[in-house]
Amino acid sequence: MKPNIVFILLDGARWDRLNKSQEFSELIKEGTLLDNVNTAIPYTIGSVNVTFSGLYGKENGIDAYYKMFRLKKSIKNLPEILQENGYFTACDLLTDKIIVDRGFDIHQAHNEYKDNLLVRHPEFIDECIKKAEDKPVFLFLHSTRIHTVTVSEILKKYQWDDKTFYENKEKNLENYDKVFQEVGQYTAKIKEYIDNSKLKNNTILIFFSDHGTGVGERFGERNYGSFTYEETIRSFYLFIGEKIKKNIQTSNLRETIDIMPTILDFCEISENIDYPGENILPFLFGQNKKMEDKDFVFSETGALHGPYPSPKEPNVFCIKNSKYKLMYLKTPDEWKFFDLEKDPDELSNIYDEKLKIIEEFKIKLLNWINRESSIS
Amino acid sequence: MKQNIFFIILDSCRSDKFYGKSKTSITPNIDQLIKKGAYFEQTISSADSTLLAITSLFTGKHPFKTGIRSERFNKLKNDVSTFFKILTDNGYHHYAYNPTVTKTIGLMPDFENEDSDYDYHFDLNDGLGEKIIEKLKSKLNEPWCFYIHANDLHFPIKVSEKFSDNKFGDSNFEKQISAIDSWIGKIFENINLKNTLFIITSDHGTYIPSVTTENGILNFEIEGKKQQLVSKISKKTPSFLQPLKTKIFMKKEKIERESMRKKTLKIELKPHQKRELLWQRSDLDKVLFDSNVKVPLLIIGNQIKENTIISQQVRQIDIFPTLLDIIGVKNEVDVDGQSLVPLINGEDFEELPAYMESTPLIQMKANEVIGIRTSQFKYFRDRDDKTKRIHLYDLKNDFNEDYNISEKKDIVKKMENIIEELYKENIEKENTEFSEEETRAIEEELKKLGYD
Repeated sequence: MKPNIVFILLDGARWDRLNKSQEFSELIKEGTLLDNVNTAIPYTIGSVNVTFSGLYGKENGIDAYYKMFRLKKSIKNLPEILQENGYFTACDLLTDKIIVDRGFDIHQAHNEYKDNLLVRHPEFIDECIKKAEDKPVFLFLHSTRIHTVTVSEILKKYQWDDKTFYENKEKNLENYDKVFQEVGQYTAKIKEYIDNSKLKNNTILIFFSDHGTGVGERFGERNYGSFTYEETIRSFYLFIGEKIKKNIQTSNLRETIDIMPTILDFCEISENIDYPGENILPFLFGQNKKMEDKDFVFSETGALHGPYPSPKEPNVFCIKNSKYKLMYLKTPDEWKFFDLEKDPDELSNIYDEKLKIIEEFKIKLLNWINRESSIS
Repeated sequence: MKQNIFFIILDSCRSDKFYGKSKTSITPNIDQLIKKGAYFEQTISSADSTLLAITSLFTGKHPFKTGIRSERFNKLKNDVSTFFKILTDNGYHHYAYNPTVTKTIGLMPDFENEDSDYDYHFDLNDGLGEKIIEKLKSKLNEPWCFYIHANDLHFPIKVSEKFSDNKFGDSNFEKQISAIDSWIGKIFENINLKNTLFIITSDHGTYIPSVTTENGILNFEIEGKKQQLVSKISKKTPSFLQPLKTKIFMKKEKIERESMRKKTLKIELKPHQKRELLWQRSDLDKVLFDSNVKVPLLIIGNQIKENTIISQQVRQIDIFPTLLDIIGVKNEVDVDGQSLVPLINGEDFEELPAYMESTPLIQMKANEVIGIRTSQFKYFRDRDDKTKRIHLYDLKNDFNEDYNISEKKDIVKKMENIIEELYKENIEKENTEFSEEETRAIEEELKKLGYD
């Protein structure tokens, strides 16, 4: 019997605030946490589609908000592959457009303002177990509390250039932490529910975030999607399961495109596709003691609001390794370079210092931006 | 009052077996109907199988723009509008008899008759013909669009006793056309042409494994009733046994075809005759010969000049804008097809190249092809690699497509340029353009997410 897979998206959860929830901190002890996973696109639709296609936006078709309906027809998403391999597949999302219905037996959305996910999701788990009968289960649950509060308490109250928002960074962070504590309670409830269900055995639980959330660190970033600073592009993945090593935490640099080959290996499914991500299963199983940093990772975005909105195509790009980050803002044609070790908050742009590595990064980034997609 | 529309698709019907010199069936009704309207002798389908073809037909778009590639990717793109939707917006009521499989792709409207779906093998002779007539006699809400997709010519073909005599055609396929003709006649008696537009066409063609040689007719057609029974039993195979079933099926196919191939060795046959006898649309190596993509198109209506035979090449994607033009509905949707009304009226009309695609297989990866047809040439090649499996035929001098002249690099290049232009135009649109409809859907979604 193939393993059950439960993805639980904690929409907008920041990697650096995970310890603000006692419940989530307890969960971390039960599995392996990767807290430096680079999201290719720091907003939900882009990010989720990268994770579940195993491909960057240009390759899968969704590299801009306005391309949300343009997942390429040639792409086989994880749910499609799993369904073809005998899985019962289901999701409960923020809206039904977050990911296409291809490959899902149940593809549904909740009302983030009305539905109580503490009740809804356990009921949904029950429903799926029942309908799956003897099939292995793939579940994708979308926890939307941070999104709901971000919209109602920030986006509806502050314009992107409202200085009062950026002046209250500490207070914003405090409010954010309170919401994350609610999310932590949700994670504990779901974990407990699964532990008492038929999914208790032979299941891998994956708690993850699609992007972080800005709380006013820099002008123009009211939430996420405007730039590619760490508070929005650094995400995390927590894996919990029988074979997964417990109480392991790594900050080595990985990418969300690594998830697809990892899950396929976990399910012992072989697809004839050359995924750009790297399988990290040997590390999760403890076969490789050390996780290596990726040499380079990439992110891109195009904002809906802010100083350089670009909803139809990406216009902010970055390349980073574990030490440095080069960011290119296409609209004002501006380059920024940060030393992530010495300046983790990315406050000092040292592009003008003309370090040798900047040129190396620049060539790689421009090649990545201008690459021809190999997938039509 | 807007005109009603009666639209019948004869699945798999080939142009050369519907009208013209090589037809051996007896079709007094179809012959009369052709005299009453405009018949297009060279109508080229966008694809060699149903889903791709009807999606192109009813969206007016090349297949690579619709979102439909096979049954697995089974949804029309959100920003693609349809002929039916435009009719709905213009107050039309929809009725149909339509195989269930085509209802899954997001192309069809909500039909007002509850019995609109039928099983794949429900032929005109099995009761479908009577149902259509009964429905036409009932009070339909006007203006209506009554859409029929008849599978009588889809293999396996079951010819009724009444039409089994050889005088009705050289093959079961052609005998079945004779049978269809009798139903077309009965149906047409119930159509009021004063307020109804009557259209007959097909989604794609097919091979007919029966050829006439100097020594008589060589026929490899399979007995339809037996084949349908096998197919029914086969559908009940549990999913875990599917790979085994496919393997056994392939093996059986190989043996049968090898035996057929041996029979053909003793007879001198032209390449197109060998194809008809030995090839199938479901083969791994896809091709786009006229057998599979040249379809009939007949339009009859009170504004259509009688006895208009048009030999200029037209495309299946032209049907959508043509019909809207005839019924006087303004088309505001971006389509690749063009209205054929000026051509029907005898005006100067530019012939455009027809783009075609083969259809992917579901269970395994096929060697797909894409191609271009003009009145002069047919060109197709590997879908992913323009240097592989290149076919070029001179249709004026070799209408059976027997001799591949792909060594004529200048013509290959010209045809390739046409494909590139079509794709480039699409890529540019993909990257930069968002239709009003798509923009509205995106903005609605963003609003739902709280990003307005």
